[in-house]
Amino acid sequence: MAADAPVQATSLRERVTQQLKRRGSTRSAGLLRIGLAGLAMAKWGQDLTFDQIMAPAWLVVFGAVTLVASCFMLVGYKSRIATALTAICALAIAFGINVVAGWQRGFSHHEAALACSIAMLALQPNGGSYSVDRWLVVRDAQRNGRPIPPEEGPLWAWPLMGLLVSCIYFYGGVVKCHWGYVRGDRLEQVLMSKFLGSELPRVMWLKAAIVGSAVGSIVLEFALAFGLWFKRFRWPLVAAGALFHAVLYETMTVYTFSLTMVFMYLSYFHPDAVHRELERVHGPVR
Amino acid sequence: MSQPPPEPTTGRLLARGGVLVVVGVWLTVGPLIRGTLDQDHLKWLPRWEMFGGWGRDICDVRYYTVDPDGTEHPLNWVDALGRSREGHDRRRNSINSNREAFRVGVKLCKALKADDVRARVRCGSRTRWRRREWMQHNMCSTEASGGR
Repeated sequence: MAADAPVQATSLRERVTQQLKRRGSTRSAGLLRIGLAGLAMAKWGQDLTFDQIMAPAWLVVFGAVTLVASCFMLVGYKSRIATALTAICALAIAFGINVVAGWQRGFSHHEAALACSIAMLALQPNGGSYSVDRWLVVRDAQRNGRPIPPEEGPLWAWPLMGLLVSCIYFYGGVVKCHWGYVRGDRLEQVLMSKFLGSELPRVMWLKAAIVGSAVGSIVLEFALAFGLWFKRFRWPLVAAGALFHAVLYETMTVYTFSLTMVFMYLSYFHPDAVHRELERVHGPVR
Repeated sequence: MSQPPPEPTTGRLLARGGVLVVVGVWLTVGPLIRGTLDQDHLKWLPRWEMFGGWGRDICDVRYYTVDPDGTEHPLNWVDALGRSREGHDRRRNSINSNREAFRVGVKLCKALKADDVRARVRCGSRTRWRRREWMQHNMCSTEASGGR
């Protein structure tokens, strides 16, 4: 993976040019492709099958296209096209088709997060590793006596992946920065609607836990938004974020949201470093 | 060794730069406009407010019987109405509006044969608890039993 070897750029123009020419390992994108395709199928698959949408005809076609594209994305066949098509369908679902098709589903930020993640992945060379595309390339090279090409591709758009996750956390934190959330009103409401009904126990420890959780969630979201970019804080924040999303998954009906966010943490790690680490842990064949 | 990939042309680099800027602005400024500046009609922009809609319709309700001298006695309305707190039943003990709180209050009057039952009711909203009823009305009076 020498292609991404950093050459010290001095001016802004050189730095920008270097970023636009950046190449590197495709393994991170390949792993994300598999993970996000699985989540897309889990999230929308059951709503898009023929038995769920008998009419109108265009929606049936739309459902079939989405399912076929996400299947191709999962196995990595014609990966860039399949991911782009899945992204277009996912963005349509998250940002408008609910209204157009008259589905009884409101706008879901969790769906939007998954759709935007797939859209950002569509800008990456996600078929270069762990894919049918890669298998075909290797087979073709071996048949023709050519050297097997490295698992690398252009990574100029890679920072957009992390930018998306940081924006989700940052604006998620911003919207909580008001007195009603800090003193626990909003968390009490969520807790009551999910678990307690209209009886809120008047006990000190619960109030303290709610206020602590409210303040803690704001602090954590801002820490994740900025801290994940820095190597020094990355691993502790990944652990904290994964725990945070595990708690959300266990207590709220967030479905695919938790895994979407945790998968996307991979985008903060240098793709070549991920490649080297995977190379290290892959064992030899007996 | 395989051939190194060809250098991207200037046109391709410019296109990449354009995509980076456009998508980057959409990601970073979009939620600011749609969410923070409250322009929710711009549906094509992203907006990140997780769980923003949850719990807005729940009310926190406390009932009291009130003596003629004004002394308040807290009521356990779930027990008084013979409702269950087992498992999911607890969540079903939800009161979702001030009107519903009054309906439950009227039931309490009948169940307890009380003369004066009042309530402190606050209901959820996007930002905080909002007071709906604060001990002003006797739910056992005919005026209140008509519903609010």
